[in-house]
Amino acid sequence: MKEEWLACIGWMAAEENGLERCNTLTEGYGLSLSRPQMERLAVRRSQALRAVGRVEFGPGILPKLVLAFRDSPYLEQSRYEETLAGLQDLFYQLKSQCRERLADDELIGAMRLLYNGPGGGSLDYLAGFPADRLCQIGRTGCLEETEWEEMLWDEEW
Amino acid sequence: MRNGEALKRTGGQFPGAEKLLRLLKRQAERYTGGDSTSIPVETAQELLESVCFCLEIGPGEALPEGDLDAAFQAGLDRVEGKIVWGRALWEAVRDHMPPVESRSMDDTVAGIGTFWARYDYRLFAHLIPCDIDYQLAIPVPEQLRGVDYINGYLTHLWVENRFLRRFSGQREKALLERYCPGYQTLLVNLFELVFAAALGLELLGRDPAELNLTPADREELTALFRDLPRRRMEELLEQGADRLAQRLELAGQKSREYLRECGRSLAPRIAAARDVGGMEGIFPGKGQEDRES
Repeated sequence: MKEEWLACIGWMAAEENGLERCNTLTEGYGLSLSRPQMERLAVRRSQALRAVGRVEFGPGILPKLVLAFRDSPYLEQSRYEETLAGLQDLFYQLKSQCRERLADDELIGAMRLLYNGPGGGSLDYLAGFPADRLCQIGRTGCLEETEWEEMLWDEEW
Repeated sequence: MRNGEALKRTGGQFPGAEKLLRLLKRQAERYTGGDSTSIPVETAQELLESVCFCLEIGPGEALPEGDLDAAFQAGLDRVEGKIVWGRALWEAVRDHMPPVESRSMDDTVAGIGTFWARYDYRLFAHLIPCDIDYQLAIPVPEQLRGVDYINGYLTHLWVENRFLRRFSGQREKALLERYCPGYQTLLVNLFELVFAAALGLELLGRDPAELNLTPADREELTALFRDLPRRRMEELLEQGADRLAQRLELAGQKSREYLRECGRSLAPRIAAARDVGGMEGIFPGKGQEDRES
């Protein structure tokens, strides 16, 4: 059933892929994707969605990820495709782990804060981050915990 | 069209596939409120089920021709009409409960009351967001879904309860207490026993209001059905149910059909019981010990 779904929806993605337009928005940061790279990322997207049991209509999450991360100090052209592929995989993984509690923009915001901040550009750091804490950061848009939240996370509790 | 089949064909292979996926995309956007570009497969399946329900597409059926969006909107309008009808029916059931207590019926009717608030027909029209415990004499067909199931259930319950309300209450309670002690708190159907007792009396040309067949009556019923082939037995039961409906002024088409079906459904049990003298399990009333006392 999953396979059927994903196969069906693939054709919509192809016609609505927004990555070409993204290149014009990342030029100033020295980042761009070639046509083969875009095609490989589209394939990777299908695999990532399939792996976590999700379906997606429209252009997918990559254009949003590109715009959110284009000014990251840890993004560089030589590893641009690889990093985007990793972020895309992680996005769908974390989206499922958060059980729909975060909107796309909130999740991307949290990922960006962690990746550019304490994660120091490490995708592994993001992958191992607890979902509940991620939801908190996504909702508040802030890495710091409130006093009340700190009490909750305190080991004495 | 069950969604597996539907989607297999939606890889651009059959006419209307693209329109169906665009409709699905819009439903997904409505579901997420535009906050998410992706949804779990299970949710997408439910959304598609709902679309198919509104379009009234059954397993293996093709998509309607022409404007799919308009057909979907017409489907939603149809569902709205069913909700209005079902709600009125539910209020009628709630306001005309039978004179015999049943906790499971009370809970079920109250539960259906929450259905109208929980039923998200624009996204999940095929779901039944309430608990239904009370067992009907004739269950609603399992292929019915969403508001169709609820309306089917309420229609059956309305007929059963209208039947029960034709009796005094005292005799029904005595009958139920004898055959099903503690029926008030058990998951048992109230109608079946009362109907069978009334039908038995009707078949013997007696007043069904008594609801009390004696062992002699049951012997008479055994003789009535002895040597009858199944078809003739069913006819006899249907005719008896018809006369009963007329006598109790339940002459509406739905009521008559329901009672006929209930009567007919007794035939296999009678056929199995007539040779071993087990009619008491089918036509309830006084037992042997009552006659002796």
